[in-house]
Amino acid sequence: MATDANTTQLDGFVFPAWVNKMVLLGLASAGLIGGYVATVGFFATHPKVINVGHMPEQPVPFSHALHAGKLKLDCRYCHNTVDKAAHAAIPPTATCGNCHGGKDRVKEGATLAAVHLKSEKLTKVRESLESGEPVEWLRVHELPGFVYFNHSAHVTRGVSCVECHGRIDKMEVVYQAKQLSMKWCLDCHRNPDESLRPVDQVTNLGWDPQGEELKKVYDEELEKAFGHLGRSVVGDSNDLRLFYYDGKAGASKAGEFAVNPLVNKQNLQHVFAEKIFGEDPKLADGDGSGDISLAEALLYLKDCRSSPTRKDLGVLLKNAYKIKPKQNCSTCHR
Amino acid sequence: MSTAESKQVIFRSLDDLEETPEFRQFVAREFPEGVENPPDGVTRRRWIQLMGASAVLAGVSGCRFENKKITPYAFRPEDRVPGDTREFATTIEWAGAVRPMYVTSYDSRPIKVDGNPLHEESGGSVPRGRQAQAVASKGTSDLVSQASVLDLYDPDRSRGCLEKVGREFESRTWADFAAAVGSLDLAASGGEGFVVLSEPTTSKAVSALKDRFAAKYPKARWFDYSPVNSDNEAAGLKAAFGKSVLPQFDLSSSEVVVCLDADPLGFHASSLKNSKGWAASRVPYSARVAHRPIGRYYSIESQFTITGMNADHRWPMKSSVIGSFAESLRLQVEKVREAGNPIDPVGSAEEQRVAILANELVYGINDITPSSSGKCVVMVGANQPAEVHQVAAVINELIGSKLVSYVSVPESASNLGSIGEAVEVLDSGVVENLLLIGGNPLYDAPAELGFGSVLAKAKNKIHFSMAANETTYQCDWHANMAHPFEVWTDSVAYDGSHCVGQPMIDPLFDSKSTVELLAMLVGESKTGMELVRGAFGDLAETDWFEAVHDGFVKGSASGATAVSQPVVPAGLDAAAWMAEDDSIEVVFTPSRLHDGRLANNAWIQEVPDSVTKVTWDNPAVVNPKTAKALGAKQNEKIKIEVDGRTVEAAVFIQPGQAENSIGIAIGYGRKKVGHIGGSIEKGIDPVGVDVGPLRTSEGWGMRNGVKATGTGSRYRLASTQDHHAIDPTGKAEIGSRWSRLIYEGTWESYEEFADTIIGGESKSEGAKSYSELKPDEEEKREHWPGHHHLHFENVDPIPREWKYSDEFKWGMSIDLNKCTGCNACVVACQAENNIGVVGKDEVARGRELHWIRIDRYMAANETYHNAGKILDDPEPRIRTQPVACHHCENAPCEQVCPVAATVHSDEGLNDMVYNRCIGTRYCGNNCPYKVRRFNYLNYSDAVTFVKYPWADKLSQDDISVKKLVNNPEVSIRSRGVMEKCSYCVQRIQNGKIKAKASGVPLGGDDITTACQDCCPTQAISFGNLGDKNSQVSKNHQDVRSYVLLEELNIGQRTKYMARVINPNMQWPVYVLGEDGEPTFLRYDQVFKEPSHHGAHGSHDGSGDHSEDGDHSKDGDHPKDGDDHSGDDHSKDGGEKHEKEELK
Repeated sequence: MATDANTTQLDGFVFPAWVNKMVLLGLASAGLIGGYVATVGFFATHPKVINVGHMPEQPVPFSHALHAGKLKLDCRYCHNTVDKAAHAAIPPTATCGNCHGGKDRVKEGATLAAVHLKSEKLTKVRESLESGEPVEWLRVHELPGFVYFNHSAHVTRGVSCVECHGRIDKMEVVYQAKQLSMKWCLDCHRNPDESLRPVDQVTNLGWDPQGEELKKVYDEELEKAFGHLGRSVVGDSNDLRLFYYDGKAGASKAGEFAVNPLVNKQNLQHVFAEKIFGEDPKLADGDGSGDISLAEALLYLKDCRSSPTRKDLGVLLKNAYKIKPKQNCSTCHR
Repeated sequence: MSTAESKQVIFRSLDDLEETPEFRQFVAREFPEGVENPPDGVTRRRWIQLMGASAVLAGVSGCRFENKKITPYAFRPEDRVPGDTREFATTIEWAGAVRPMYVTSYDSRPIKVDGNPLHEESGGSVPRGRQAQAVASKGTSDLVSQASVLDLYDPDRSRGCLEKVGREFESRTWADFAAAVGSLDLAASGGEGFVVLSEPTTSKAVSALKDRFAAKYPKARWFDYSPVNSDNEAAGLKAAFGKSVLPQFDLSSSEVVVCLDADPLGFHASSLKNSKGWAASRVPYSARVAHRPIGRYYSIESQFTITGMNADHRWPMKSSVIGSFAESLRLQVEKVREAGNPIDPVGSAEEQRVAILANELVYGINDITPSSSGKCVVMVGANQPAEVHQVAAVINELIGSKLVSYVSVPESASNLGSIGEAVEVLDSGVVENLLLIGGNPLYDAPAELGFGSVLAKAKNKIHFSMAANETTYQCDWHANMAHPFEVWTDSVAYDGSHCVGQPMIDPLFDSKSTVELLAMLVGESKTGMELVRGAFGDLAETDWFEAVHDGFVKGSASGATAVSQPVVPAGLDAAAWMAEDDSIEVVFTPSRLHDGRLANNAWIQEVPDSVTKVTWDNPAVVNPKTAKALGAKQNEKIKIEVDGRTVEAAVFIQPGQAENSIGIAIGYGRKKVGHIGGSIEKGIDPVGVDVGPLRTSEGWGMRNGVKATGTGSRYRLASTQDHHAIDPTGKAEIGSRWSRLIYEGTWESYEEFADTIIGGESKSEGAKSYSELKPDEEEKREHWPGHHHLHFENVDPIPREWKYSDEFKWGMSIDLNKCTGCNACVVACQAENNIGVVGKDEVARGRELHWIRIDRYMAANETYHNAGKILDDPEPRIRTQPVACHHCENAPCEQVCPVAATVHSDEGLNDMVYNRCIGTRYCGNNCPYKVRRFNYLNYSDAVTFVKYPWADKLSQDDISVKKLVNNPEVSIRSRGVMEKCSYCVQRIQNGKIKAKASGVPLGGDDITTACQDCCPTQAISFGNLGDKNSQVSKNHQDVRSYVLLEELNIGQRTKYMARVINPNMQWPVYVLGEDGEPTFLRYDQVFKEPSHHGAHGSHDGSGDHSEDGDHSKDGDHPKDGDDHSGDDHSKDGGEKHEKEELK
């Protein structure tokens, strides 16, 4: 712009010199505020803040890695209320005493074992057995007071201990492995398929079947769910036949559907829907028509049987166990 | 208006009647003005300081990794699952009043009391539901049983024994106590100068120990005294029959019951059994099927009692003339029997009424032959003198009543006689050693005895009690008594069955039971259990275990004993009650605090009284006319004088109270009880006034001819009667959606209605099935009494991303025909759901937290209203209606919550997520039922800077004791959080989890709510509406079922069932004549009842929206409904409706 110095000075507004300082100051404070927000944000969302890694030192250095891992004690040997009640219940000292009680302690006729009778680490256990006073364990996993959680509702539905507690069987000292936050709970409640396993495997923390093994598990669960129909679906999309099992061991043959009233052409789809796809029939809807033909259903099942994934197994279990993960607020907040 | 009530005007209180600004405010606002002000005693500055400090502290305590301890059992008992509840049968006895209970214990901590379902005296209900393990059935219970668990964790209980050293008490152990007692050498010269003053007990273990005590201390004297007793009844029946008997009532088949100052449904030793019987006699469907009328109840009483509220005819009469009335009734009954046929009522209203009562007592409702039914009975209240009980026994004999039988009871001295004698002995100065077992005679002994001064004459005084009370402070030693939940006890229930009380927790503090103390005195070393078991004779091991399991020995109830012809008492003047009488009487009404021992129980103190709705007080209840005569206004004190002793009490004006009768409850005004009930030491004012100075041995239950004067000094009563008033009149925009809140109709109209549905000839056809009482088509469902002319709001349902569950649809039904307004549900809910207590000041601000409230309406005759003299109606009636969250499907509260803290579940529950709530209170503001409660302060902790009566009076230790009562299944709410009825969601969830784990599907009735469990009449049913066979589904389909504020069309899950009353059409009813003078007319002349058909179609006559079937189901409400939507029109419509209603 062609300028006339005078005009410019008259028309334009020139910031006074102190503004320069203010800009710097403003930038600095913006930076500080930003830094503050970032720091707060960082700490507020850091896994440690949500208690992951909380690892208190217990009064008795009990090693889960040894007992549950190496010695393969079932979780329920000690936490024996986990499948019956809300609490998994820290075991009474008497449970420790079963092995570490000492030969001379005879309780209700049963002679107790005397493993590591002189171990210093077990002093507190022995003291508790003598005095009847409890061992004061420290809490590792804690939910807020306004959250209700029930162990039995989960472990009897095929949710393994490992889903929330991690590989306890590898922990020398137990720590909190998962966030246990509301979002984390809801992630699983909204999409539980991959976290489900057969109920008899919930305490097998290292359970991770692949390939042929997973196929076997899928078949077994299919049979458990269907009973009579388990191994009967064979063939491919061009040659679909349904084999049924007539109740005698080893006797399966190709034939009509109408043997068992539960399984005939009319209600086969219904059975599939109820037991296998559940409320998510899209899984089997091959042609995307929104409708599942018998062929599609059988094809889906055949696919699952030939190369199942954990999700396929989860979908099967979810429907077989009639699991409806609740998302009502009052499920956890009362 | 419903059919029979069309000539009545309904009001909640005096303020309501007068439309005072205060009442308008309660209607228009969710909470009264000033409700959000900080509490008294805190300045704004202080408030900000504290808030700032607490914010800082909150930040500090927010640090992570707080180490918390878990202490498991060292040896866990077999089958014990930590964190699971267990139920134990036990018994509590309060000075002879025995309550069989089922106590729920959480990790060995009793937290909830219910009735023992096996015992007749606590409901004796059959197990509900198919799944016995998942949901244990409960018996019924009353509010004091419900609250009894709070006493266990009362921080004011003694921590151990105390000895007075100088003027102060110092703590001692039981060993110290034993040494001190040993040094007294009680047995010296056979117990000469040793006196025991005990509260009476039915315990056989105590009685056996008493014998051994008498053997060891042959010269010692033993007196039993309780201020709450049935001396009069015992004396009256003994005079009538010549032996000691106890009457047993069976009201389940009752036809006509006449209550003379009696309250069988409220304060009665057998109230739960009576309530169950009352309810059974009034189920209209069963009665219809059995071709019998529902029971008809007459209450002739001075005070409004729970029975009186629910009576078909209530006749206010001074207590002091009821004896004379009873005599006159007896003479009339004799006349009727002599005449051999009913005598036509003639003469004055009073004469006609006596004639009607006598006719009905002899002939029943259906006029059969005399005494053939035997389903009529006369009951008399405990306050009435012995002769009245005697007359009633004579009348019952004359009418051949089969509803009452008598059982033999051991002879016992009268309580008042005992205390008189004890005072004489004490006064003679020969008493060296005095042992008081329980009780508080310094507070509750008859005034003229001067117990305080004679107590000082005893040399060594020992008081054995649960906490230090007025009497303890005058004694030298205090021995600590255990709560019944901590020790073995035994007792004999009202029906004579021998009950066991088992401990569920070790004594919290260093304490012993009465049997243990007595064993110590007689030098026995047996344990409490051995002593109690000994009282059961040689019961085999298994039988003993069964008795402990059941809570009583099966089949041990007393059998009826034959009684001789009762003797007619002399000296009753049959004319006295008709005479003009201006003298003032004072009646000492029974109290929820029993004899005052429950005064430190905050749950009981905070429950609004059934009639007056007053909390934390015992006002002097008077009739409006009497109040005027005394020159006293509401909330002003009056002075009552008896024999020169005076008491000042605040006046509560209660229409329907007998004229010249002042009613005031006993048990209040305790000066040394604790941080709730009052404690001079701690600077906590007593709750209410002590009427002790007015009570003498002569005038124990009531006193006529007292002097009462107004003082003019103000006193604030905290009454909840206007709180949370539902606005039925509304504003102009809802004018056309008028509806009633309580529906009721007469038995005649119900019968007629049932006939129109079933078909005319059904009466002779025998039982009809339930479904035949209702039409099939849901939309065209017939209702009784006809009320379906509602204009439904055209509501768009809230869009939901999910579908309602087919499996569970929770719903509730409340049968107003059964609800007595007894308040048991209010306390049961409080115990179950950890509901806080707020204290008197906070209640006065409208901040009470009860999730279920019982609305109480009064109904007066329209003639009085029209003349502007509504308070002059001598016989207004009371109706009650429990209101809790309705769990609306289109819940108005959910739509306004900015943070989605209240949301719907797919099972139809209106969930409240406390941790999301930010306390805007929009939801409370938008709730048409006003059932949402806000935690203005941190009531649950009660250790804040706030001026609760008990704040800063409690140590941290005390608070940890208090907290033991909380139910761990329910979140404790903090300040700033809304809360409301959750349909006991914790029970629903636990029931579902257990059902799933056990594999047995959940039945529609298997889950019960706390209010339902306790309800003495089983008025509340709850369950799965998805199960068509559940009780609640059936109730929702009943013809009597209706929805409160149905026109809002918000999918309420709670429904009410209309009330059926059974008035006598000949009964003279007072109306105000044209000349302004009261006159009387027959009932059917006053309440002209349109026939059902007429009522259904056209009873409100305004015509503009009377099409039947105007339901929401018809979908889009017609645009032609513009006649409803025009502002001008609806304004008119609204006013018109209001006027209609008032006529």
